Amino acid sequence: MSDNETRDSGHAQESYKNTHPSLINAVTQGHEPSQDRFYRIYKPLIRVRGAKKGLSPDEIETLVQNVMDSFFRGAKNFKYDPTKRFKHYFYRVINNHICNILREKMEKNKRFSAEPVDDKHPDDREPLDGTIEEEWTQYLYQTAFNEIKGRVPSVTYQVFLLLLQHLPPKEIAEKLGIALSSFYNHKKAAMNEYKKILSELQEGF
Amino acid sequence: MAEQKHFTYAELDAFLHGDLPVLKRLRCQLHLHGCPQCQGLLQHVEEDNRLLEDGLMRSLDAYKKENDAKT
Ligand SMILES: [Zn+2]
Repeated sequence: MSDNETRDSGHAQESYKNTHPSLINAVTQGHEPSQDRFYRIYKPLIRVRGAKKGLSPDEIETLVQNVMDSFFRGAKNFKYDPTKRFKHYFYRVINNHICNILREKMEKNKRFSAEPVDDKHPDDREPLDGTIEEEWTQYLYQTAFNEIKGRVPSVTYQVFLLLLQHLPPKEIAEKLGIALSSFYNHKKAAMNEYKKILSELQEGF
Repeated sequence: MAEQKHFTYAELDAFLHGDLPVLKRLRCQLHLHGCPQCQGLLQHVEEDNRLLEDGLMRSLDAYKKENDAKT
């Protein structure tokens, strides 16, 4: 198998249950704003995975590009299947690309030679371990946090930010010049939006 | 008997954090005893607080710690 074929092996040709069906459907149809959103949302997850597997910053950037490239190009053949989980599929695509990067590195060092990993058919039998589940949850919390800024009024966002800095309600209300009862209304609005984003991200997982 | 007004999400959250004025807090306590609807809403508020404190706050703190360790 040539290097190009190895690199191309990440096409998302299987049908897997997805993240948010509407986003995936739009990505599969080549809708550019959805591809931008997909890139923005999933890039941090790929980076975390790469860092945890010991890749260098340059290798992590290569990993992001390879995963996105294979997903976008393969997305044309992607069919939504409610019986399968996108999360598991996506993790395996990432892991397979990590293996390819590590394998190439080892080959350069002439210490290792093996067949490249093929992520056209990621192995469904192997369960994802607890570490990955935890990592995924952390990723969801943080991505939802990053998304909320543009979706709530400025004061509501400030309330949310200060809450996350462990400031007590009275201090936050004073700092922002609002009544304590107003603080609780803003907190409710922020939590509602936060949960809405979380459920959008989790839909189908 | 006069119909009692239910408490709002924000009021119940303030109640949980000890931020209701004394009289309102006492009324809220009494009301909660006999109102399944407000009890349900209180549970909902508690769940949201857990999501915020045990979920998001912990996750962001861990992320910060990880980043601080790297720099
Ligand atoms: Zn009630």
